[in-house]
Amino acid sequence: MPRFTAPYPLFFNPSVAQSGTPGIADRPDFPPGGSWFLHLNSNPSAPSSAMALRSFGVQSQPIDDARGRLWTRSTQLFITTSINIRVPFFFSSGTFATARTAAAFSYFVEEFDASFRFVRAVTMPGEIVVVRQDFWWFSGSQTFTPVSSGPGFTIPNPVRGVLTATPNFFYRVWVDLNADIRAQGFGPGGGSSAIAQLAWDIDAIEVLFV
Amino acid sequence: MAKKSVPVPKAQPPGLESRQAAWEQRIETFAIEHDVLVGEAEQRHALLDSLSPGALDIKAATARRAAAYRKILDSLKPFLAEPKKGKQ
Repeated sequence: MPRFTAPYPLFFNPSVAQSGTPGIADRPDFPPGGSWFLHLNSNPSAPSSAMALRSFGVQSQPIDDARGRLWTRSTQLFITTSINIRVPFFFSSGTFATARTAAAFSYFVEEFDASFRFVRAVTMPGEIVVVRQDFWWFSGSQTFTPVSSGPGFTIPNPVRGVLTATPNFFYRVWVDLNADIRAQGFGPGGGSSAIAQLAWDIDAIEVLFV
Repeated sequence: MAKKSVPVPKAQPPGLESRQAAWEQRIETFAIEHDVLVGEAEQRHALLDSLSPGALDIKAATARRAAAYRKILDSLKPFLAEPKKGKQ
């Protein structure tokens, strides 16, 4: 089973999408090439939104592990990860207004043919939800305990048949972190706020073709 | 000149067209959702204006929430500081 560790050869870290001047801290973390720190907080006094995608990836071909050579038949792709989720802080508060805070890990798989021409991209159905809270507050606030926090998390494997791999094709497996916040800020009457913060290490990505 | 403690990737690897396209599609949805958020805020202001003064103690609750939020943001400042340069 091809096992990859940091630093990963592929990364995709587009600028954080934002509107309404939210606060953002967004940076690589230790160990380099496999870790990231992200903090999103809403503008205290105006409507604001932020959405981030941070991704590390690896590339492989359908390989028969036992024989150490490329498969000549179609196979099923299975992926295992070891993700360490650190310093999570998720919060929302509101008076008569909506707020959202959320973060989740998932796989994004790209398929290229034997000549490395792009064929398709698939977002796998399995995910690790760290927090996903979408509120309409009358008046209240809450710090959300992450559903997942600590080392050794793997994103659930896709069910068999979700992705069938073709011999000699190339596959890029990405581990995506999607996080977002939105809140209305506090004005003269009512408002809301939101924070999403976490750091994470992708300790390993294992790719198996069966 | 001190080196950065954490190297920042300077360029994206090749072959990211599909990733970029998927991200741009999501940004379009994001922009729509933000417009909805702004619309909600405007609706709230209009609704509150229509309520009789003092019917709901919204001002006091808002001030409490805003103060609590600023306090939380202050408490998170140590996390937001950049790692010290040149330190392993």
